Amino acid sequence: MSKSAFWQALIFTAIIFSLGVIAGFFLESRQSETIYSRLVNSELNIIDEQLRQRIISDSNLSCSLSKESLFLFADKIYEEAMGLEEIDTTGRLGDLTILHRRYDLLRTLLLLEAESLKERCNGDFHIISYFYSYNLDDVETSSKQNYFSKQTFDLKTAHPQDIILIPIAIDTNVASIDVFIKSRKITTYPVILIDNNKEISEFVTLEELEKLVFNDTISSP
Amino acid sequence: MLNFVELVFYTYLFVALYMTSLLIFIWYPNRRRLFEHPKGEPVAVSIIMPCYNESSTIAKALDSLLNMKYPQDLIEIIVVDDKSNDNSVDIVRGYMGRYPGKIRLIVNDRNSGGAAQPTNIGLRAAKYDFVAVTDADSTPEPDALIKMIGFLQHDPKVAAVTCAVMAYGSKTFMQKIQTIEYSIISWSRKLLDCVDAVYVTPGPFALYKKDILLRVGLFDTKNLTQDIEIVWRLRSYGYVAKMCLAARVYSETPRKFKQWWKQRIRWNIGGTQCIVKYKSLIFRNGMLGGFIIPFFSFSLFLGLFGLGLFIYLLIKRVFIKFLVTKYAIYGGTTLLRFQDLNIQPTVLNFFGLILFVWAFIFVLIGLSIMNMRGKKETNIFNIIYYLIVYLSMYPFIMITALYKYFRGKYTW
Repeated sequence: MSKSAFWQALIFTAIIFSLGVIAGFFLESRQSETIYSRLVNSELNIIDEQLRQRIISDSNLSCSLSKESLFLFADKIYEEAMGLEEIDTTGRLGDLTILHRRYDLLRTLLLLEAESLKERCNGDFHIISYFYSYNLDDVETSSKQNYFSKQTFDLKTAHPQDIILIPIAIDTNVASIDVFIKSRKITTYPVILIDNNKEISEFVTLEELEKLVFNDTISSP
Repeated sequence: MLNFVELVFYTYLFVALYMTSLLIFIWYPNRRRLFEHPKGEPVAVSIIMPCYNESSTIAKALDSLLNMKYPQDLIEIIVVDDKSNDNSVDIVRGYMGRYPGKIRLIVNDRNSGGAAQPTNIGLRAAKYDFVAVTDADSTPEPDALIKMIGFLQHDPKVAAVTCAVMAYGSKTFMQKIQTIEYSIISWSRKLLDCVDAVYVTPGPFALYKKDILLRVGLFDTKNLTQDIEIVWRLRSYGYVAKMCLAARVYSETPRKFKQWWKQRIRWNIGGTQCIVKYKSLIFRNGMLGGFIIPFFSFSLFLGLFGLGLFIYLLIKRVFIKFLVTKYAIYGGTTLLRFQDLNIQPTVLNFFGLILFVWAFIFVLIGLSIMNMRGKKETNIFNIIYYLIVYLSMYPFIMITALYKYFRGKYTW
């Protein structure tokens, strides 16, 4: 009889499985380290940016230079956040929520700075902020979010120098973001805010969105 | 972070890895004893052959019995025809003329709709204490009987002996895949024998002690897999079944998908009937309640749950893709971005790959042991197809079988 095989196989499977999980964590931690270092760099960048903003305002540096700096930074953050989203949808063993929160904080800070710059320089650019849900299971809203994400991405791609695109998750449980959401009276999601005065929560075509951003000839549906 | 679906996938991977590992752990210490069998003394045996419309195969089946390397004067062949519509009976009568006194023919008045009843008729008519049951489309190897008989003679607890059922014919692709499947099943069954967990004595060729069969009540005529049910019943009475890997029988396999599907539905309905009938013995009665019934039940649950989850996820994914595409077309945005093509390998992918490689090795070992490596039916493509496509069809069979079972509309 080989009935001990039942236990042997269980122990063997548990070992193989544990090794697999450890290897998985190791592989992921290498990825996470990269992400984390990018985040740390981003944080350094934004502190650098804040300092430069202060220097700019103190020394009356030109708005075009300030805008250029802001756009570079915002685009970089956008791309990094996209990379994070991609990693997060791959069935990871580890938790990336904390990284998401930091990115969302960073982007909220960026949004406030962009609005401040636009006001100070009477900016010739548009701020597209896109608010979405991070923890979503509803099929229809999920599809809508996917569409809004593509739409804002396409708009940004078409007008890289005229639009600053800042997506922010509304449900990462960060107190300052919660207050920010309330202050903007955002009650539904997904929603696109154009220059903090036009709210789009229903379907519009890319062309219509473009018109809403660049002129006031059509009204928001 | 892992969500519910991913956790379920990990659980499935764990179970699959455990089952293959279990068989490997049973195999390794027993690898040199797999083909051993107790030496048997030739004694009189009645061979029962239920038959229904088997005119194309019965002659070959009878020839194989008549050419057994076993003293022919110790063999009695009883063909029980279940009211065939073809000329099976004429063929048998022809053999009776050529071999007078060797073959007996019993013709049922009406078709019973299964193999159990004609088998029981043959068993009651059998003259000898040892009885073999064989299908009319199966051909045991000449030395099968002599290799198997020793199991019944050396242990009073052994009431039944099965052998390696191998696929006969490989004309169609379905048959080629079944050649792999039958080889792996035979090997796995022998491994289960090593832990005293043989749960079936398949119809193509099995040997029994007649008095024990009569005592436990013969084959269940209501069960679609009477060859599984009888072993469970024998076990519930304290008897065991053994497996002789050294003995082989070749059995016709379904040529087309439709026939194969129908056969597998029947097997699964029969399995479900057994689970329901013996559910009270779960976690009791030795290996029957401790392993066989939980294994069957758990397999059924995992298959159904996995299929349900798969269908839910598939529908959800298709629906989301449909909506996203619809919105994108309406809105004039990009239909597909590079980011949508997620090419990041996950831990789950690695586990899946490990499991596939492990299962592949398992099949290769099985085919080698069954001496089936290098044959055209067992090429790499067919093995991959067997592992990925063929086995994936089982949950669909299960759910169809369960539906038919609960509707109560099932026949042989």
